[in-house]
Amino acid sequence: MAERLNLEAVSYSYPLPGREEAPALVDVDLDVEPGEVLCVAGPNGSGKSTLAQVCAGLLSPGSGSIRYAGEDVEGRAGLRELRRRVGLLFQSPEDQIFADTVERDIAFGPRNHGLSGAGLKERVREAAAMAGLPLDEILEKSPFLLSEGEKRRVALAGVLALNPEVLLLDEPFIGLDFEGRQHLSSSLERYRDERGASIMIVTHDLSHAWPLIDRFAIISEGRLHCVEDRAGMVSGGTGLAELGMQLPQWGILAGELLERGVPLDDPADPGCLAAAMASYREARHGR
Amino acid sequence: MVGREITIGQYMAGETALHRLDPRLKVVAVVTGTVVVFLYNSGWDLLAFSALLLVILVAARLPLLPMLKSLRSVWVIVLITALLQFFLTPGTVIARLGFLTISDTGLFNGVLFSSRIIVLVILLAALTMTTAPLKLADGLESLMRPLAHLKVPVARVTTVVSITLMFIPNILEQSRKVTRAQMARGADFESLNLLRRVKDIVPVLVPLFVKVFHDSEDLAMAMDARAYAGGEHRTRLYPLRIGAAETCLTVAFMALAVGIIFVL
Repeated sequence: MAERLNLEAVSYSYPLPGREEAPALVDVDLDVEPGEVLCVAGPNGSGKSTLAQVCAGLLSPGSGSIRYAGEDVEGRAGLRELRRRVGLLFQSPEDQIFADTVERDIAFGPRNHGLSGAGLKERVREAAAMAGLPLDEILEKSPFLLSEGEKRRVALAGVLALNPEVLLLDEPFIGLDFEGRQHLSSSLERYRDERGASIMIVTHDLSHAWPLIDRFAIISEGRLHCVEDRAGMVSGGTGLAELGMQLPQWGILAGELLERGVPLDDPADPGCLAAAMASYREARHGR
Repeated sequence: MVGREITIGQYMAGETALHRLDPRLKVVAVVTGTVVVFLYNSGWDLLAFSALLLVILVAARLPLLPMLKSLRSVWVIVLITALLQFFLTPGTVIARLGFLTISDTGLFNGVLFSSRIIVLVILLAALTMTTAPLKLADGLESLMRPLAHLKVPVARVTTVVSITLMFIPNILEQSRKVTRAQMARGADFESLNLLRRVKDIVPVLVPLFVKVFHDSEDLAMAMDARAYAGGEHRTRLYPLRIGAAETCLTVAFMALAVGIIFVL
């Protein structure tokens, strides 16, 4: 499959005047394919958020190249165009929300892209619905008076309203309760399925995003450590523990079952895990 | 992590003699420097003091070029000062720009006054860039202690000063983050259209103020939760002590700064 977003040997350093530059990304190669959910995971300070901002065209790499849909992203115009195609949801909704009503806040992005009138209203409603906001109850409210979970949804709707082909989310599950996490997961799945969008989730905690993810890019000290699918992750060869990370509990369970030779179709599907455990139990009792 | 640029006045940790100098001595030296800069009335005086300041900046290993670049935030004040002096000071006319005239005294005063501002900003920056905010607050509190007899809430005032100083880099960091969040939604801060740029400032200022108010409320509660009450009963983890060598160094600086007036 032709990649949508492609990073080749991308490096980025933060300038620290009077001191040595602090490298945040070193020679990172990464492909994001259409319709996939890619998780960029790594411990704190590993360069995940910097990578997200480079992918979203907010930081220009010091060296290396970015290609979008086969075209080189070059100069300010290239970065501006990349920002039109890639939407980034920041970790804190408070970094983004500013308007006096939810509706105006969601409309900010599409208005910047030149949308107006009925088309703009329709886009706002679609984005609000996709983010799970109760349309008529909430659109006229001030976003600052909403609960933390609702603010997150407003921030998500503000990014979805841009109709990004690649949706990037920086630590989207932090601070959400169970219902909020479920809601966010289903919104993301719907967005990917309906728009064919690629989704990149940046996180240090694999547990909440685990069922959604097609591939995992593990990053450590600014370098790409490995890229694996779920089966590769549970097989135990990624050295996560050395990076101070661990698989979610059911990933560990899936790894244990595979190690014992139990066939497992999908390591993230609770049904498959239950069936694999049942067959393992039967095999042991049979003996 | 967000990209960092140098901000004039932002503390930069270091191990130089100037970093270790007692904050009270530094404040006294800076106050002396400020007074004498206003007393200098020739370009040579100011030049000699600037050379002295340069030696101090080099000794403190402060990044000179980035410091000069970050002075752009005061260029407007410097320019206005210079222009007002150029055009409004009476004297022998040396140039005419339409109905405006520039006198020889105006030109001299414009250059001198605007240079004074730059030197003073760098002098103050040398203080705040080599002194951790909490140390500076301790120093100010110690120097202002006599005012407590006049019922001035010295401890509270210095706490406010130190927290304000600590918040400056946070606010700058936050403004960069918010700017990027809005750029990701199509805000154009690179546009040459002034109206568009002004309009795009609102989506930055609102989240910035919200965040600053939240952070200050959180900080106040966190200080309350750790039994902060201010006042004289608070003890110090590292009590301030002035050594003989640092006193000599400070006196030497002040003597040189004052001596310039009489020598040149």
